Amino acid sequence: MNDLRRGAACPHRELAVGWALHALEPAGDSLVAAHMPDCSICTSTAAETEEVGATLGLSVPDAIPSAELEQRVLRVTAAKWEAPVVVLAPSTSPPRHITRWFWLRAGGWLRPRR
Amino acid sequence: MAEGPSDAELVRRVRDADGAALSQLYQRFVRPCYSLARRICVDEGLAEDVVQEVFLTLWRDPTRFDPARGGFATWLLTVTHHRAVDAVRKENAIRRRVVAVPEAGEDWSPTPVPGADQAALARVAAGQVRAALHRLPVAQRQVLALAYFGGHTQSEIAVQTGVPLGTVKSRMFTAVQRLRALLTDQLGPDTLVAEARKMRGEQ
Repeated sequence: MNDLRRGAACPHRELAVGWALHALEPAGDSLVAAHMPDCSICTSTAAETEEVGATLGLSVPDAIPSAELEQRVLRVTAAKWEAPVVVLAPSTSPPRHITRWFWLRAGGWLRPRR
Repeated sequence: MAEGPSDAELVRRVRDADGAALSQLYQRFVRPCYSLARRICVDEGLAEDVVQEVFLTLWRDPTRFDPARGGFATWLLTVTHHRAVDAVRKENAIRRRVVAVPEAGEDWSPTPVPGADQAALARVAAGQVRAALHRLPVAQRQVLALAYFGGHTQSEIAVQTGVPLGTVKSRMFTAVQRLRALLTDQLGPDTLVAEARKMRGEQ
């Protein structure tokens, strides 16, 4: 039986639910965040609450993002690793970069840098 | 149904900076993430900003996902929810102050999308969740909806509903407890999110 059903004893259980739903004020949020590592009951309560929340999240009306969103994500993630290539190793291709070049090229929008 | 590597395997590959793995996770989860962000933010552009930030977070620090704490879908939807709530609070949009508690027959049914059997499955899954929600007392359903979909804090809910903060906390706790029990009975013995995703045809 899970902690929520069992009603396990910890005075912060109710706060843990609010914390997992992102419904606490900053002070309460900090309190629970500091308490959580030392309390298996609240950790379990928060995890179970997050699962309930995610299930609620899956019940909402289906919506489709624009086609540009994927390109925006690709562009931003690409910027993170491209900078070191220019500054540190413009003539080499470390393995870390190869997979991303592959992905970006597969997306058909990236043009090679000079 | 989706085939191929598990979510956990793809996250492990993202830790190795495998962009193709991130792309697969994006394809797998962008719609449920965007749908949730859209529901909370209402504004499409703001919702897309949220989803972009979510996947950027995953890319920059995939170790934030701890498999020991739960499934990847739960984690990603939780991050999406929190970022969407943060965005709405930051925007201080007027519309979030008037989130209504969904009632029977109201708009919690997914909007059909052209040519998608997935939409029918999603409607079934949403119907199960909605049915469970409507078995909660109105007062409990209200605090849950105001917090989860409205992005309100417990203190704000106390002011809005005119009940003591302690009552809001206990109602929210009990609502989650009862909803979890109801959903577990309805969706089966596996994890709730996994079952819901199966019903949506996502897994």
